[in-house]
Amino acid sequence: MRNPSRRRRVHGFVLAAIALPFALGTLSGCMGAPVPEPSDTAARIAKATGAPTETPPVFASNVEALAAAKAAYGNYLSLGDAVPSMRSESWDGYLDLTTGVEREGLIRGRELMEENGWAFTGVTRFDSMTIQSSRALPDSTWEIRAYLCLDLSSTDTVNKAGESVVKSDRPVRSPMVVVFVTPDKNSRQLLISESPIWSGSNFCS
Amino acid sequence: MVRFKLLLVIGVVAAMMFSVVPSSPSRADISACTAENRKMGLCPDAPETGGKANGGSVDVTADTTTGSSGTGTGSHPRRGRSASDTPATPTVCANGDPAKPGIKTIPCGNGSFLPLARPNTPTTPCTACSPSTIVSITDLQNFPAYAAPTNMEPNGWTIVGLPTNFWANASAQIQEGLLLGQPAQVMFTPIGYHWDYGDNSTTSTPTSGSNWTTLNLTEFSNTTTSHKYAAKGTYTVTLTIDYRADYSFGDQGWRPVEGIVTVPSTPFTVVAANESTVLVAEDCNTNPRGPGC
Repeated sequence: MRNPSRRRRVHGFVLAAIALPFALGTLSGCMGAPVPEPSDTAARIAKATGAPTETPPVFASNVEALAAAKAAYGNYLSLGDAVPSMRSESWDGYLDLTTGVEREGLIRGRELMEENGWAFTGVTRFDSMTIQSSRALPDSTWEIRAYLCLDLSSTDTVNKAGESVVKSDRPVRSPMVVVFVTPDKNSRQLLISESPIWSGSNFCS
Repeated sequence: MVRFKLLLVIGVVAAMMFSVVPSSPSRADISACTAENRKMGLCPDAPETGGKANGGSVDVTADTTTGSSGTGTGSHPRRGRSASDTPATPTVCANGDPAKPGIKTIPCGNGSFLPLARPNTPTTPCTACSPSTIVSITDLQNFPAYAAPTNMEPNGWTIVGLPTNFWANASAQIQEGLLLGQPAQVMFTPIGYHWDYGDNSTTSTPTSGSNWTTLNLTEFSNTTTSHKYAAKGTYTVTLTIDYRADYSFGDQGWRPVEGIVTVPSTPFTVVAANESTVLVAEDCNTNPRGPGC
């Protein structure tokens, strides 16, 4: 089920982003790679980075933030593909890449997975990451919100007999909003704190 | 018209295998969508929404499903197989959600419906359901458009053979509500005005009209919404406004509603009299605000 409070935060943020019509043009000039254009008002609209004067920016630009977010999420997905179980040595390091809701969801998902004897196969990919916002939080930690397309076309979840346990018609490309946070105000390490499905227009189809 | 009608239909199916340990996590427990949970089909899909005109209001619906509705998958699929290794048939399809005792319907996997069983009681065997937990929720809310105030001048009476001016105070209106616990809005934009003057004559205009002062016209001037009554009498005037509607749900932006919303105004009466009757009755010196003064 959904988490209403998280949804409300996302909605509020998107409304704020829509109120800044200039931001898309500003951001698109910063992007190194072309990104899909939004098709309606609910589509992805970037919010310009607003760095409070009293807080020196951890990431000097959206380009820097995007590079850090790409590296962090790529590493996260790679480790997820490689960590076989919660008893493996690499589990703790994998879990330490997450915080908050993402961490809880990761643990719950893995518990269900291991109870059923499921395993992941293949490689999980993502693409089309763009920065929605990059800002300092009141506690001086940094938060980056990014849109991306999760690509599950080369992955599967199988049971002990090697049979797939997921719907064959599941969406293989999903639009997501991934939230990254730094663990403390001077750190440039990005932890994944939540990654809900983007409920607006599907920019990944 | 002031009414607010809420229709809520919630359907929940909890399809479980006997072999699932009660304390174990189920798909319904997964509240956070991670990439891994997405891989296992645990994340809720974005709600499917729709908006449809329903007379003078709009019905907005949202559907969302969590878990997997596939077949042959789920918890311990090997245990569901017989010695001959025939395809798994879930032994229990659905039971009620203890947290939602008021649920009336159970959409089951492929859309069929099953009778609701109380928690922890035997339930209807179902070959169509996935053994994994399915939670399907449909929410519908009705957003009424409010009738626009109507005006005429002279106010309540007129002179046979002279134009009577009618207009409406209609503008775009937004109604708000909650759908699946998320904010939903419907915006009504007037696109057509249909006047029934009560003497078997009607007219339709794309605009609401306005009063003579605003239009910079003298009294009893013709306007796009004015009407001349040919005979004295009492007439009932009704305005019906057509609205185009758009809805928004969550952060999905504005989407058009299927159909046109038609809202009748409150009827009002006009007394049409002959000019002599009206003018003889009053004197502009004694009553400067009287008819024709």
